[in-house]
Amino acid sequence: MNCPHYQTALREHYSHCEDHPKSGKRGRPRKPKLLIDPDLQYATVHKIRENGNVIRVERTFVFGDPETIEQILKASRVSRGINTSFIERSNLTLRNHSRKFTRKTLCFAKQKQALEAQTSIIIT
Amino acid sequence: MMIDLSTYFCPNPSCNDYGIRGKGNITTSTRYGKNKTQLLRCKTCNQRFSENRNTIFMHSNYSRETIQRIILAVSEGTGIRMTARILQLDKDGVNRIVLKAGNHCKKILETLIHDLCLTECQLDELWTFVKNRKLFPTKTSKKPMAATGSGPPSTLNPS
Repeated sequence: MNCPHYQTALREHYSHCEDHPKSGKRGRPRKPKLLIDPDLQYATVHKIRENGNVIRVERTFVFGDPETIEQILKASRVSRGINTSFIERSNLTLRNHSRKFTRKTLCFAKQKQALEAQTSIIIT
Repeated sequence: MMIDLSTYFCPNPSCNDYGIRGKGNITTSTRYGKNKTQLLRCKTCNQRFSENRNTIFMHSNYSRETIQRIILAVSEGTGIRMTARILQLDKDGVNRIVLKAGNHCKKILETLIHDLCLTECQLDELWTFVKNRKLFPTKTSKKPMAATGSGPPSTLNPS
């Protein structure tokens, strides 16, 4: 699912404010402009499902230049396209190794601290 | 059982050899407790400390083997109650060990994994459930104790 929170978080973290030049007129000055860092390249993968099966994958460029992203992918030693393979593999390993992340089970965490502790043990 | 003294260092921050391994300043002192834990001594500052200092084995009635088994079982995907039933322990005791070990692991991760030079990364989210029964009514809730669920009576003043 395309989660909008990443976009907000990345924009807030990888940006800086720049003031407008003084106009010399009276009144409240304009709000500073938010400039996103040019090094930030962010694209999303949106899987469209039908009856639980993936029928189409949409890739959208959110921040950065699409040509730059393609150049980075060409130079990359592991990826040939915008994908979520590695993180999905990591998620599945986590789900297999922790009862609290296992799908379709009755087990769950009763406290957030317990969930964090068990996740830390597995990752370490 | 002999222990490798070169892996230990003096935990006293005011000592000159604080945090330095393999300098030969650590010697064995005596043993204490039910599990016969080794007490070590720093020759530089003459301070004694347990071999379990700053580890998850400190202040625990469970033996080292039991604690290692608990962590192994939990990290292989066994639940807290399952682990307690298999090892014939109390579930609260197992949970206590898991919380303690988890905090240690979190500190290790924070120390080792930071300032990574990544050229590309992938982000995704995981969903799971966390059930939290509110035993004590919060300041914002106007419901009386009986409406929030069962549990011991609240000692907090609702006003």
